[in-house]
Amino acid sequence: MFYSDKFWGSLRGVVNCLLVVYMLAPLVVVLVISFSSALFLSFPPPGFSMQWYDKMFSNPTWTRSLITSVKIMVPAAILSTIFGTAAALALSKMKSKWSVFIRGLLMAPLIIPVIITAAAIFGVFRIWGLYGNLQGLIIAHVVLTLPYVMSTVSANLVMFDTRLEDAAANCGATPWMTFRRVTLPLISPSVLSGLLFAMVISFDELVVSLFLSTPQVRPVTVQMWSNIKGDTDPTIAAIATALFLFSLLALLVDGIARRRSGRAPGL
Amino acid sequence: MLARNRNLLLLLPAILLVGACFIYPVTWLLQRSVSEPVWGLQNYVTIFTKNIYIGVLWNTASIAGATTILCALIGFPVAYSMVHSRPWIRRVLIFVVLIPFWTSILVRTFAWLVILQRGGLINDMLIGIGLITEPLDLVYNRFGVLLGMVQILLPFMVFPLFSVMARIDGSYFKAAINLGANPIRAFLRVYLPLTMPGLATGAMLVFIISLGYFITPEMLGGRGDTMIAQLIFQRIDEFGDWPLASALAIVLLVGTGLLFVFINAVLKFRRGRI
Amino acid sequence: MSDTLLKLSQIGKAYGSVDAAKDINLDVAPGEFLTFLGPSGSGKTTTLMMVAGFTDPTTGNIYLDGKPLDPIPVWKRDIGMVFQHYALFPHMSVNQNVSFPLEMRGVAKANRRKKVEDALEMVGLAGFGARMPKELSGGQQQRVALARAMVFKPRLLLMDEPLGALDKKLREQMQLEIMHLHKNMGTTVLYVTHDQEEALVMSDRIAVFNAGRIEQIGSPRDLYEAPQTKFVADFIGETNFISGQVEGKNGDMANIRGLHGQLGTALENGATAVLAIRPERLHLVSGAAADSSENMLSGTVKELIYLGQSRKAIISLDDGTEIIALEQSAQAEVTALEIGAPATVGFRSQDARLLADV
Repeated sequence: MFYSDKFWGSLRGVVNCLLVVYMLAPLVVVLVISFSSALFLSFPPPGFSMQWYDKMFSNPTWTRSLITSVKIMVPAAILSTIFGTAAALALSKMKSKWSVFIRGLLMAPLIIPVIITAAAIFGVFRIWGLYGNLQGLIIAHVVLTLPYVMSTVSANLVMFDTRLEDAAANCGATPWMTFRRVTLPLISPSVLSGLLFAMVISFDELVVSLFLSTPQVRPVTVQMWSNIKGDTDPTIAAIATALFLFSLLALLVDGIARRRSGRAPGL
Repeated sequence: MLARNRNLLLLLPAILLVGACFIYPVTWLLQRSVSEPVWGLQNYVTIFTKNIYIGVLWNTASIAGATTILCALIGFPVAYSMVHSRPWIRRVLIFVVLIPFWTSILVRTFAWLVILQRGGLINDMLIGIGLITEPLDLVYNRFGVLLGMVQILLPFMVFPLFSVMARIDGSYFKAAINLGANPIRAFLRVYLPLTMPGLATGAMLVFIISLGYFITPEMLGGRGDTMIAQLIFQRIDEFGDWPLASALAIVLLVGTGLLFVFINAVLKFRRGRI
Repeated sequence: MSDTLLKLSQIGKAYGSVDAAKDINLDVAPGEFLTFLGPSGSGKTTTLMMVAGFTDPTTGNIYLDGKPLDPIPVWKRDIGMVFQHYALFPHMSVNQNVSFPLEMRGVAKANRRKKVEDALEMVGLAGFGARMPKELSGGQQQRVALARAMVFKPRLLLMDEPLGALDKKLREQMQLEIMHLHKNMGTTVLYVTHDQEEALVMSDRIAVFNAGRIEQIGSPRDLYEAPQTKFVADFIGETNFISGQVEGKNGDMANIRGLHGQLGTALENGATAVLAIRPERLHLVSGAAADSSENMLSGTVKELIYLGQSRKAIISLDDGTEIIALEQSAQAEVTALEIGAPATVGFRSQDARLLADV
């Protein structure tokens, strides 16, 4: 029967398979090509080779850009986590109507199309001498990642039992001690999540970096961009795979950390 | 008192940073857009009257619209399948749909390039089978852009739909067909209306987000697919035309904001009636 | 054929190796109120769903008015149905809900309005047409579901535990209303419930389901007074069971452990069986004195439970079996039992039934 359960079951199966292919195919292809032994982009690759990964680590352009990316990512992620966590804490304790407004303000970089943020920051940073150097890129990355950290930590704080802090104060702990010994340990999974989130976003960030970079100071994503627009060779596939694996690693670390702290893995 | 001060202190770095390095720059853009070459709205007039710019605005809206429709057509069966599959399959599907969130747009868009280009995977396969003799133009055109954008934005459609569908009781559909509606009528009159809140939320998200996209149309699109974000970049990078670029940015900002507020209001209004 | 509206012939539904329903045979007369009664998982809902068309039988056939029902899809079966949680369309008003089946049948708009009004009036909800389902109470939603199922005047109405979600008082009220509706409209009703009291009150006949099969079909009285299986005797009302082996079979009477009773089902001497006797059919006498009944058992009073209009006595027999006897309070005062004291329980042979012990 056209309306039988078997028919719909197999149709669902087809839909599921098509979806998986559509979503995963690009990634799988990139992964495979990165190990290609051919000298140009071709699929399927004729053989297996690590040459592009070698090239990635030996070609000075690439290594320099990778190092730049790390030099931006680490300070940016750390600052973003500190400021974002502080903001989340403050907002969770604020009872006034202002808190909604301030939260909206701090989340704005997330909601507004990146191109606008990029153009705006570029315009102003050029005047302030923050164009074409690490400082400018770091500050910009902090602005971009702060909302993510803040919302991640906030979500955890909503479930946090403030009576624990009251109990600590009652035991004689100063606010700082309470934070260090009670609050922070309990929210540390989400703080870690926020940190990882910030790191991944910073490492993958392209649009704002595109505006603020110069050939001398250029993160790896911008380098990839100019390569793709120029001549493409499979090194890019290796870099792309590396980027993807980095995200995956962050996801894994986050998952493990959450599991160990007893919370269900999620976003 | 102390607590209040402490809160303010905790917030200060974030507020200062976002204020100085985000709010201020955006207002700076606004100011440049209305103050150069002279004070006035001439930049905006240019945008809405000169053909090139109108063309780009139209492209932006139509690509966003097409992406939304495609996401709805694809996302609906996917969300439905998720709701009615066994738990382990559902978890796999959720993971697969969420992959976009964990991989950079750059990586994925580059991957599509590899697959779709003239010497790429699909063309090689089709020529190899003998289906075609000349490679197809699958990228640097509207097809490529839409393919890339739909893949990236699908989660925004699937998840709102999924959460609404999961709450629809199976007995509504059964009651409808018992009362005389064949499955197609029952779907159109009963099931589909009940999925509307999810569909509407998803559509709103996909549309508004795709308006501001840069990487995907730039890498996968052709000259006739230029979206507003690319135009902004071009005006600054190639021409240093800050007044116009700022105006374009503000148009995008205001447009996005207005749409969001407007659609939300409509959704709230309709939700009250259901 | 004209006095059978619905015929189920050798109906069965198997899911893999599990039989959700097996050997279901049923003839439903026009205008009859037939209840499917049984515990969860007994197959009653599965059978109802097969009549509705939501599940296809693995074996057997269903005939409506002599014509096979199996090839007809759900939306063409013209059978009314009230679902367990009403399934009122939340995005449609009461009017739109009740009007839906008429729309599907192509009834003209003007006619629809009249019919919907009549249907709502019939369930006592005239004037509620513009409301949305979420604005109604559970009982009101129930009635709208009923109106919607009846508005197109189906010959057969299916009800799947419709009163389960209501509180006791409302449930009893709705039971009576459904019965009145049934009488007035002359519709044939198939009613599913696990509540045996509900079944006894409302039905013309009851089909008792157990583990996918029908154990017995009969009027409430037949099932209560003359159960044919241990399950039926146990499920409907309360029963005492004394186990043993059949002896001295004589026509339709036989003995178990010296106690005389009627054979409720075909049993031979030596078969493992139980003697079933209802608590209210037991006659109590204080002390070990002989009673004038045909059958007597002696034991000790273990517990006395006061129930207002009646009194339950739990008697522990000499061999350890516990018997429950029910007396009206007036009678209980006369019998005057004491806890711990000996007592004699007596009963007539015609009130005891021998049933197979499964």
